[in-house]
Amino acid sequence: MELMRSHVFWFVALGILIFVVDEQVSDPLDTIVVDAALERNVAALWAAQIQREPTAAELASLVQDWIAEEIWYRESVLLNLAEGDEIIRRRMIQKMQFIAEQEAASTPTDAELRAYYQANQSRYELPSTISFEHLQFQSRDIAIAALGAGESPEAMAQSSMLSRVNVRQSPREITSAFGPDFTRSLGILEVAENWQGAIQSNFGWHLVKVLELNAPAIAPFEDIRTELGADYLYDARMKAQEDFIDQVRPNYDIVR
Amino acid sequence: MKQRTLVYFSALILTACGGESDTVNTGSATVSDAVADASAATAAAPAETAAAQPAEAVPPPPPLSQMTMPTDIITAQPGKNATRTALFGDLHVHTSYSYDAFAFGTLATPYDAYRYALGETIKNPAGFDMTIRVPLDFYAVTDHGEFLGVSRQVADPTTEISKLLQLGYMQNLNAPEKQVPGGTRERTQAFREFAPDTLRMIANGTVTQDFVDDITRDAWADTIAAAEQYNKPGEFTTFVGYEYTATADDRGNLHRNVIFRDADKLPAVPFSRLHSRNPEALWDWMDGLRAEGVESLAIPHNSNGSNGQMFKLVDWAGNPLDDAYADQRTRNEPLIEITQIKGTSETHPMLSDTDEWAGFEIMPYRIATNLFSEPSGSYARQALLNGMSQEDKGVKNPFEFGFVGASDTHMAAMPDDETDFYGKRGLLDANPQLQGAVPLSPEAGAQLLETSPELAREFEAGIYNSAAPITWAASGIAGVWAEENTRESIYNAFRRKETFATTGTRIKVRFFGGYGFTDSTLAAPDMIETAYRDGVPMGSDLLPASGGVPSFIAWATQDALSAPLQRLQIVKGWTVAGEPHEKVFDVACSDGLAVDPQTHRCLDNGASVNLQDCAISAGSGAAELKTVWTDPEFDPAVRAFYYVRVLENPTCRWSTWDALREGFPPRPDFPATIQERAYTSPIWFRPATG
Repeated sequence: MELMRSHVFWFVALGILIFVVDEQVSDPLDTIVVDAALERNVAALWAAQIQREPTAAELASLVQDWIAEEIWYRESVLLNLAEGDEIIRRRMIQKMQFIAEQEAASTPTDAELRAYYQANQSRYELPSTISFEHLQFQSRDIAIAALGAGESPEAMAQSSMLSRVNVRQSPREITSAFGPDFTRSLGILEVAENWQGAIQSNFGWHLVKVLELNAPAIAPFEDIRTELGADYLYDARMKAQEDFIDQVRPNYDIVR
Repeated sequence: MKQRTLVYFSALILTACGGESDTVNTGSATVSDAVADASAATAAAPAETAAAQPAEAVPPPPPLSQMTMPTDIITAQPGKNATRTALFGDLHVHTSYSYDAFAFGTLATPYDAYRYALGETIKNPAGFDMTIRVPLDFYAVTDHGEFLGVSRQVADPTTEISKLLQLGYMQNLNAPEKQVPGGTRERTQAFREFAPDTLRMIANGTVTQDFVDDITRDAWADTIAAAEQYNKPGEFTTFVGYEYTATADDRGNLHRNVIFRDADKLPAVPFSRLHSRNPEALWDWMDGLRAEGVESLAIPHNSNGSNGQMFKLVDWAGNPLDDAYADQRTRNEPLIEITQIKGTSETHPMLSDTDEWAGFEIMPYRIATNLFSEPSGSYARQALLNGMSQEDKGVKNPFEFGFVGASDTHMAAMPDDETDFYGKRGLLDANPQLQGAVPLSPEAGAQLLETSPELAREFEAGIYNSAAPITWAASGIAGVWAEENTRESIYNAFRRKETFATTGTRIKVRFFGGYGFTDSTLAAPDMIETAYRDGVPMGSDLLPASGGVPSFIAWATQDALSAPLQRLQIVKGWTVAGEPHEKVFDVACSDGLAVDPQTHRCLDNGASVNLQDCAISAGSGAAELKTVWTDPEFDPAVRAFYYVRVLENPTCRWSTWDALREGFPPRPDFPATIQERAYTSPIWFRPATG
C-alpha cells in the first residue's frame, strides 16, 4: 500500500507501459519514399535555377541531398524544434487561415455582388459636395460694407490664396483649404444668386455665393464593380476565419 | 479630427436634404454662370464688367449673377485664373507594372492609381483600405521603364513568357495566400534577381528581346490609356510618364522621372537604363523627341541617395562641366524632387551647419542598399551654390532648377497622412513592426538579431527593425501655380519652375522678387497683379535695376487639417569669386513675435506636442504668414539665390503615431515630432555683367 501511494512508483510504472506500447506500435525505422514524382520536382527546381535539365549523375546527387535534408527535417520534428519558433508559428497560422478561407475565396456571382452592394450601401456613399464662389476681406466690417455696396464687392476684397471658384468640393476638401469654421458656416447657407455672409475662415472674412449643393449619394453599382468584388472577397475571407474560430474554439479549454 | 469632419459632413447632409429638387436642376447651369463670371472678372476691370452686363429684369442686381451661358455648356469648371491658383499633385507613382512594386505584392493598376488620387478607396496588398486625405489636382503614374509590365506576366503561369523563363520564385508570386505582410525569399529574389535573370536569358537566347519588348509596349500603351481615361481638363490632370532608373557603378542613384506634356504623340517604348545608364543619353533621346514635337522633362529624385553622383561637377565621361552640358541639362531638367518618402534632398547638417532645420528626415543610405551615401554632391542647396560658382568661373550654370515634392509610392497610392503612414513597399511595410516604429515580437526580434544584427537595434521596449524604412518620411507633394487645371497650364508651370514642394500637408506658398514692394503692396486688393507686373515669381531670374535693392513678397497659408504655421524663412545662397555662402533668414513669425535682428531668428512661439496623445498646443501658430522682405546684406555685385521655406508648428512623426496606437513609447533614436514644411523654387539674382 505504501508503494501504491508513492508518486515515484506510478511514474516508473507508467513510463514502462508507454515504452512497451510504443515499441509494439511504431516501425523500427521511419520510411523515406523516393518516387518518380519527387525526382521530377527536384529536377524541375534545379532546372529553373540552372536553366537546363540535370544529367542522371546530377539528379542522383540532387536526390541524395534531398534525402539528407529530409532526415534533418524529420530529426528536428522529433526534437520538437518548431515549438516556440515564431516564424514557423506564423507560417502555420497562415496555412490554416488559408484553408479556412478556401470556401469563401470563390469569385462572387453577379447576383451575390448585387446583394452585397445592397447590404453595404453606406460604405459606398459619395460625400455631399458644394460649389461656391467666394471673396475674401480683411475684416467682418469691410465684408459687410462690401455686401451693402452691391455693385462690385470685389473692389473691396483682398488678395486670397484660395481659389475664387470652387467646384464640387467635399467638406473635407473645403476644411483643408478654408478651415473647419468656414465649412460649418457654409453648410447652413442655401443656394442663391446673391452674395451671402460674412463668414469667417482661418484666413479672414468671406462673402460667398453658393452655386450648387449636391446631396450625398450612393456610388452606382457599375462604377464600383471592381472595388465591390475585392471588398466582397475580403469580407468573405474574414468571415470564414471568424466562423472557423467560433466553431473550433469550444474544443479548447482556456486556462488563465 | 476625423470625428469633427463627420460632424460637418452631417451638417451638410442635412442642409442638402432640406433643399428642393429645383436647386439640383438649376445647379449646373448656375455653376457655369459663375465660371463665365470669374473668367470675365479676371479678364476685365470690375467697372467694365458691370458695364458689359446684358440688361435683364433681375431684381436687386448683383452684377456677377446676370450673365447667361448657353445651356449646352454645363460642365462645371473653375475656369482660368490669370493670377494663378495653387494645384497639388504627385508626379512619382508606381503600380504593378513596376517589377519592384510587383515584388512588394502590389496588384493595383494605373487605373487604380488615378481612382485613388480622385478620392476613391483602393486596397493595400495586405488587404486594408487606402483613402487619400484630400484628393489631388494632378497625378502621374511613373512605372520603371525597364521591364515595364513584364514581371506581372512572368508570375502568371499561363503566359508564354513564364513558360519560357521558368523563374521558380516568380511563379504565382502574388497569389492570394501569399498576400501577407512581410518579406519572403521569393519576394527578395523577385526584387533583386528578376532583372539580371531576365537579361541573362535574353543574352543566352532563352527568350528574345523582341518578345520582352512587346510586353513592355503593351504595358506602356495601357499606361497611356489610363492617363487618357482619367484626364479631365479643368478638373483633374494626368500626365503620361515613367521612371528612368539608372545607377552609377558605386550604386549612387541617378533616377529620374520623365513626364510628357501631351499624350497624342509619344515614343512607342520608354528609354530605360537597359538602353543606357548615362543620363546624358536620356537627354539626347528627349532632345530628339522634342525635335519631332514630343515635349518632355525629366525630374531627378533621391539625389540624397546618390553618394555624390547626382550633382557632381564632372560629366559621365569624367570631364569638367561645360556650357553644352549645362544647356542640355537645364533644357531637360528644370525641376528636382526635394522631398519624398525616401527622405529630404534639400540639405544635410554636414553641408549646412548653421541651419538648425537641416537635419529633417535625413535618409542616409544609397537607394535600395544599406550603404552610406556621401552628402557632398547629393543635396540641392549645395548644387545651387555650385552652379553659381560655375558661373563665377565663366561656365554656364548646370544646376538652375526648381523644386517639387513627390511620394514615390510603390502601391499606386500616395500616402499623405502622417497619422496613418503605411510606407511605400506594400507588404514589406504593411505593419509598424516591419516599418520599425514599434518593437518586433520577442521571437522575431531574437531571430533578426541572429540573422541580420546590423539591421536590429535594441531599446528598453524590445528589438526594433532598423533597416531603411524607419528613416523614411510620410512625404511629399508637388505644388504648382497654374491658370487652370489642364496639362498645358500645369506643364507650363513646370517649365517656368513656378512650383513648390511640401512634405505632405497642403501648405500654399507664394514668392515674388522685384523692386519697390512695400507693406501697402501687401494690403492692396490687387497685390498679386502688382507682384506679377513689378516682379518675378518663384523659379525666375531677377535682373538688376540701377541702384535698386530688390524686395521680396513671401506669403504662406496653412493646411487647416494640419498644424498652423510657425515661421516663414528665406534661404539665401551666394557666391563670391566661386566661394559658396549660405544663410537662413526668418522673415515672418507667428503670434506677433519679432525677428531678432542679430540672429535673424523668430522668438520661440512655445508650440508643443503632447506625446501621450499627439495633441498639439492650442493658441500658438498662424493661419498665414505674409511679409515684404529686403535682404539686409544685399550686394548688387554678387550672384545669389533666394527661396522660401515655411515651417509648421511641431506635430507627431508617423512613427510616434504608430507607437502610441500600439502602446509603446516613441522610438528613442528618431525624433518624436517633426515640423512639416514647404519649399518654393528659388529666385536667382543675376548681377549686371561687366
